[in-house]
Amino acid sequence: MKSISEINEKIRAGTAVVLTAEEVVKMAREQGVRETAKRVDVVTTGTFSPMCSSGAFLNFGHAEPLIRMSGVKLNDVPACAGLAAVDCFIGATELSETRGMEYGGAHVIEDLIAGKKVHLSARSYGTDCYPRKSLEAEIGLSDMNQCFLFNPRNAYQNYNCSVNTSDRIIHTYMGTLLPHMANATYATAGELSPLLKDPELRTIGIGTRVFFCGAQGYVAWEGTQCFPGYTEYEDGVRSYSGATLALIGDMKKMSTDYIRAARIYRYGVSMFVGVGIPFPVLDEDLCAQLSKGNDELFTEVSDYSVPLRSRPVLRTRVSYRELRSGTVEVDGKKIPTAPMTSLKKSRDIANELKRQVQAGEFLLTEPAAKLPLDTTKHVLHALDDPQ
Amino acid sequence: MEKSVKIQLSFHPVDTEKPLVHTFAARFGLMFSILQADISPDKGGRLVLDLSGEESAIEKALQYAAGQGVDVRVLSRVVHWDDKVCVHCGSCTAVCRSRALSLSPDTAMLSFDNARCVVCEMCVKACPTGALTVELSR
Ligand code: SF4
Ligand code: SF4
Repeated sequence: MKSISEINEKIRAGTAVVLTAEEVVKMAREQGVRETAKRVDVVTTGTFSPMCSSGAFLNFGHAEPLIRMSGVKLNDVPACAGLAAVDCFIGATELSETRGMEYGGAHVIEDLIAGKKVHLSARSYGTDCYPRKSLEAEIGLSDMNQCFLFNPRNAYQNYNCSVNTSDRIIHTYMGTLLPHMANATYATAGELSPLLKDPELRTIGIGTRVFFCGAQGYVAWEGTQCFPGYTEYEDGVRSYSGATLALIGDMKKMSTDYIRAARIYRYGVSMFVGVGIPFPVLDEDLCAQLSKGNDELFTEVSDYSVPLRSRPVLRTRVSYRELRSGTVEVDGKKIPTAPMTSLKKSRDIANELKRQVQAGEFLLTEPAAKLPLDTTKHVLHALDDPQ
Repeated sequence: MEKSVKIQLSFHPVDTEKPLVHTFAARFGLMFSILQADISPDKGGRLVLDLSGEESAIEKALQYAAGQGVDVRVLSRVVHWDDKVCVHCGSCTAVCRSRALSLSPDTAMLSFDNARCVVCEMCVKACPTGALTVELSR
């Protein structure tokens, strides 16, 4: 048994033993979980995946004469200006009014982080205290006040593998799915994926410090649609899914090495978000979870040609090892697989986080509050809902 | 002048028996490699070849093929992969059926084997970062 503060003492002294999730899987197989739990202090994870529920709060600073912006566009991408005078929120998936799916909020965010200037166009109805009615400016990140990413839903614990059983090609947020199950896509970094490694959220909570697109960010809240749960298979093995995180972090400290805009054909714009979480190896139980490899982590195969709330599940248990092998078997058919999550970038993040912890630049945190494990899932009843 | 071109031959159902590719080699002295073959006798189909040899011999061979009722298209566009823009997500590998694009099992990085590319351009649409583009070949 170790505590987070003991581990932090070791990090400060430069004596903490830090491994990436891939390395700990290997070590536990060679030396056993008990020995691994004794020797290792911190395990780092990483993921780099399109995460649509992302966006940034920006504060432009005040102009002369003053303006209370009621409509804001950045490079022709509308931002939400329904906040105070010069605050806005730009959502990653918002599309440009002139370029459509070619360019969106995610590209504005990437351009700003890359150090580029963007064109701000603001409108107002004018008030006695804020008389100006329009404003145009070229602004970069360093010209603005606080700019922070606030992503309501990131780091999905687990995600299904997608196929298309119809006879036409479909373009989805899981990529291009060929007819007659000619391909399958999946979107989780498997054994490197943060929330699969502490599936019951023992050590992650509100205030947990995380690697967030190159900056040190924090868990702000449970993510939207955070419904932690698990499926228990006949042999007693559990497959966890459903947890998500709302993350916050300083855009000015981020790097385009770890955050990039994504254009998903005929779907729209999304954002590749790089997230890494360091886990304290508190005890053997946690170490056993942290050491779970791709052959012990599972997801299901769903049919994306059925655009319903619950899509047909074609296979209930498929391991990440199988998905990574290049093919997945469904109904006796071997289907080529392709990831949407960059394993290369996920590894880079886990390695960079490892380096930062080893160097004493990144300390672990005791969560300020636990994340709820018993959230209730609501669905939306439209007025025209037949049920 | 020695030259190498990528061509696509589309056959009608009855044409598939013609030993066209053999003729390319035997009569015109061309070297070829088959990049994609998708032919069946009753349906016809498609053959993508990389042909190399004397420029004039290639021209004559293509004229010969067209004269045999085969639809000949020179693939004058090439796919360009910008590894500085690429994030190695792998989305493009989902649609590349000729396996020109693949992720290395060790480094998890994308690699692009232009020789296998049949310029279907599926990957250009599927790439989220714009790392894959089509250009006119020289
Ligand atoms: S889809 Fe684009 S970014 Fe992703 S691996 Fe292929 S070329 Fe690279
Ligand atoms: S164009 Fe792209 S998808 Fe088509 S064969 Fe070439 S690399 Fe593969």
